[in-house]
Order: sequence, then C-alpha cells, then structure tokens
Amino acid sequence: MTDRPPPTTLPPTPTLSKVRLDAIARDVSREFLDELVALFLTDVAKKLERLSDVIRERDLEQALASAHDLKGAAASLGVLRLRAVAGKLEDFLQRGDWRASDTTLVRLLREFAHVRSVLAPEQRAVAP
Amino acid sequence: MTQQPLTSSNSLGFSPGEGDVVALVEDDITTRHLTRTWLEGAGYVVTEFDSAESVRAASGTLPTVVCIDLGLGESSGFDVMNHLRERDPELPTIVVTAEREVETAVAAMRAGAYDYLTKPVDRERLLHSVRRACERRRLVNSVRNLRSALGTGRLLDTLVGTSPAMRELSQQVERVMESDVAVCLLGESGTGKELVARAIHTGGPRRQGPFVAINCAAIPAALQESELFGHERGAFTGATQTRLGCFERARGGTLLLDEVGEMSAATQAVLLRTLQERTVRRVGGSQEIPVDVRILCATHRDLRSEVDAGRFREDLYFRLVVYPIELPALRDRLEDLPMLVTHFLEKLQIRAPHRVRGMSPEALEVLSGHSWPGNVRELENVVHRSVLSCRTEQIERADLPRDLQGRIPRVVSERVDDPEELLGRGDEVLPLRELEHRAIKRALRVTRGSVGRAAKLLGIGRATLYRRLAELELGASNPPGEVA
Repeated sequence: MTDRPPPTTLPPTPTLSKVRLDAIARDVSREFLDELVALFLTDVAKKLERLSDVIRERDLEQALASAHDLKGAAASLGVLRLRAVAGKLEDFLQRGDWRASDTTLVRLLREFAHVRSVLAPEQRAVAP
Repeated sequence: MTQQPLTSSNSLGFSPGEGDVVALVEDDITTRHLTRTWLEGAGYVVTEFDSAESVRAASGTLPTVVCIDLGLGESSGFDVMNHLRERDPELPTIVVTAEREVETAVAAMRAGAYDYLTKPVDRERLLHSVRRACERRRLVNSVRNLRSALGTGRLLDTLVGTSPAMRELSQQVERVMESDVAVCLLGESGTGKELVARAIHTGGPRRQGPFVAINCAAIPAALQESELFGHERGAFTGATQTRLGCFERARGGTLLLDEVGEMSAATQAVLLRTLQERTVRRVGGSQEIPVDVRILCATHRDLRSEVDAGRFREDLYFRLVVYPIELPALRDRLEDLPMLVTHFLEKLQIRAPHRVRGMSPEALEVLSGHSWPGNVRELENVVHRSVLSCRTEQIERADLPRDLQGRIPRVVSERVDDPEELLGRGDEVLPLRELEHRAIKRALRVTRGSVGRAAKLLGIGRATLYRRLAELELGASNPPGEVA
C-alpha cells in the first residue's frame, strides 16, 4: 500500500479527540493518561491480531464481536478515526461483505500504526 | 475469563467497603481501567468484573450500585442484570451501551435498569449517575424499613386513587423519580400528565430546582425555538431584549415538554442537538450555554406511529421515550370516582359559597355511568359546577350538570325479545361473552336501569358491572327523552 491520504469514503474524522485526552489528564493526571495509553496500545494490538485471525477464518460472529470490542476501546480513549474505521468494518460485516471487510481491515491496521505513532508519549504533546 | 472479581476491597466478591461499593462489569480493559480510576477518585470502592461468569461466581454482600457494559463479549450484559436483580430487585443498575444502540438501552430501562450511559462514557455523567444511584439505594433501604415498620405500602400523595391502574402508575413513578431517565407520559387529554410530571419532579433530587412546563401545541412553529432555547436581543424583529428559554429557566430542575408530538421538524432537530450536547444556543446567539435539566415529555399521540409516518424524528424518539408511562383513562378506574370526588370537594371548599361535604349515592351512580372522554379534568369541572348548583351539604343527582343527568345506560330502553332465549335456542350453545351480555341486559331491564340493584342481582360489585358495561359497549347515553 502506498502512503495515500485516507479514502474519501471515510468520515472526515480527526485521529484523536484532544478534548477527551486532555480531560482525562486533567481529571486524573498526565501519568495516568500515559499508563492508560500504554494499556490501550497493548490491548488494541492484541485485539487487532484476533480480528485479523477471525476475518481470515471468515468467522462472522467472532469478527463482529471483535470489531465491536475494538470500536468500544477506541471510543473510550477518544481515538476517533480508529473507532470510525472499526465501525465501518462492523457495518460491512453485518452486511456479510467480506471483500469490503478485508479492505477495511487493512485500513484499520494502517490507522492503528498511525495512532501508535502519534500516541507515543513523547509525541503526544504535539499530536494533531 | 476471570471467575473471580479482578480486584475488590478484599477480593472475596461483593463486599462493602467504608463507603459505597460500585461493581463494574466491563470486558474492555482500557474502559475498565479508566472508569475504575474515575470512580475511585470520587471516593467509591470499586469491584471489577470482566465477564458475566465472574459476576455469577461472586458471592457475598451485593454492591451499592452496579455498572454493566451491555455489549459484554460473548455473554450478555442482560444476563448479569437479571442475575443481580434476582438477588435484589431494587439494586440500582447503570447500563452502558454503544452510541448506536440506544434501543438496547431502552430495553434495559424497561427491564428495570436505573440509568443508562452511552460510550464513550463521560466522567461527569458517570459520577452524577452513580451518586444518584447510591442515593436511590439509601432511599430504597429507608423506605423498606419504613414500610416494614408500618406494614403497608403508601401511594404517592399527589396521585389520587387506589385502583390497580393507579397503584401500578404510582409504582412506575416511584421507580423513575430518583434518576434522570427520560420519561414519556402517555395518556388521553385530562388524565393528569402534568400532575404526574410534577410528582416525578417533587419526588426526586431536583425538587429544589424549578419545574417548567411548555405546551408545544400552544406555540406556533415559528416561535417554538425561541420559547425553548431563548433568544438574543436583536435576533429577529421585535426581540428588543435577551430572553431566556425554557431550558435555561429550568436549569437545575425539570422541563416538561407537553404535547411533544406537535413540535415542528426544525425544533425537533435543535432539541435533538441540545439533548446530545446538553448545551443550548439562544436564537441569534453563538455561545453554547450548558444546561443541567431533567427532561420529561408528554403526548396524547402514539409517537411511534408519528415516527413511522415520518412526522417525528426516530433519533429524538429514542432519546425522549426511554421509559414510557401510560396514564389510565378515568373510565378504566371508575372505582376511584368517590375518592376523586372527595378530593375535588376538599380542594374546592375554599372557593365554594357554602360547605359541601359529599355526594349522594344516586349522583355518584350517574357519574359512574358516564364515559368521561375528558377524564379527571372533566370530572373536576363537573364537581365544580355541581358545587355551585348545590344548596345543601350533599350534591344530589339534580345538582349535576343537565347533560349528565340525562345519562343512564342505554340498555334500559332495549328489550330482549324473548327472555326465554337467554341461553339460546334448542341445542344452540352461545359464547360466554354473549350469555354475560344477555344476563346484564336482562338485569338492567328488570331493575329499570339501576346499576346498583342490577349488580346485586348479578352477584357482582357495582364497579365491576360498570367495567363490564364498558367492555361490552353497553354504557352509552340515552337520549334525554328516554330517561326513566
């Protein structure tokens, strides 16, 4: 895949909700946010691995549950675009469209790589 | 999956700490960690569970409040809710759903959940809900103690009547008082929707705040937005000064949107945004003003049909109609008539020219035969008019408004052609409903329309007979000329 801008079918959603992340840091602490981000990145990596497996196996029920879990985790931390792409994947799965699901899974993996790069603690202060 | 709580005050299961204990049932680790930290920061003891199985495996004392993610992986959050409610039906349960699953939240509320939150969960909203739920728990405990001390249940003071329909209404109102759940009051005109809304307001934690009611049907579509959300000076011709809308006036209290089905499409869109953001923007203004208001709505229409017909937004419907409460029509609770009459007489004493203490059985019987299309409001008017006509201490049949005096059951003038045919001809077997129909008609004929005596002959109560008359559609009015 080339480094193209996100496809036009994706909602014009920012990568992160700065408001949500700032609120978490303000309400608890910056250290807690770092801890939460680390937890999120580890957990989502596992979730994506599982999602990739069940999509490859064409296990619709498990794929739906995994996409839904991923969406919930992303929503919790305010990782907006990852959440939107996971939501799109859920839609395609609900329609039983495996081809679109495969493509969206690739988008999801790319988006996660992007999220990881901006959420790394030393970079988060200048995150978009 | 974990079979024991992941963490708790003493890791033995549901255990009370120094303060209130919140059981958190959530399978997503990020959400769980965040929610737990927020709750602990607010002083709660948190017990975490990552699956329905781990909740079922836990034993010991129940928590003060439970917070359940309804999208719990393979196991359903509903199962957890039911499991806990079996142990204690009054345990306040806060459910969490995905944003697009409001229907699931609605189902949970109907199944007895205390409140619902949508993901991503907002910290303030969570803490607010948990705080209220804990208060509710304490209240339930104190009411339980009180009830066991008195040995009896108590209806809400403002709702008059002891019929099964009113008891059910009372219980529903008590259930929704303490939370901010969106209640929609459904019922015919005159059944007391605003009264119930006030009961919900005054019985809940917002009682110190204002109660504001707006009748959407009474406001032209062009003015609805300005009435609800206010306007800035110069927003339109005639807006000579800034005016607060109902939302701002109800801040900290309750706002009743009466006849919400009559709201224009444009206002529906703005209302939806307001409910989502919990801020208002005055007409002609640019500032988002936060408003903390409990919303109740009421309608005499079938809102679901309005949604299906495309006249009411579905997304708004799901926001407003989380917990529908149906108010009974007066004709469905005629047994409450004497109590309602007494209530209105007491209420009217201050303005009455002389003291009227009661109503004669004959007059009450006439009232029982009326179909009350205007419900309790119509009854109040009838009692008021009768008090003005009454010259003694008791309202007699002659004191009732003339149009009511002429009403007696229609069946008086009807004849069963052949009384011997009561059971059907020869071997003919009639449905029980038809037999009942004939027996009632006959009883009324031989008693010349006296419902009281007919009920006695039939061996049933008078209220039951009126109910059966209504069900068998026998209770219409007579033309005045046929009155006995």
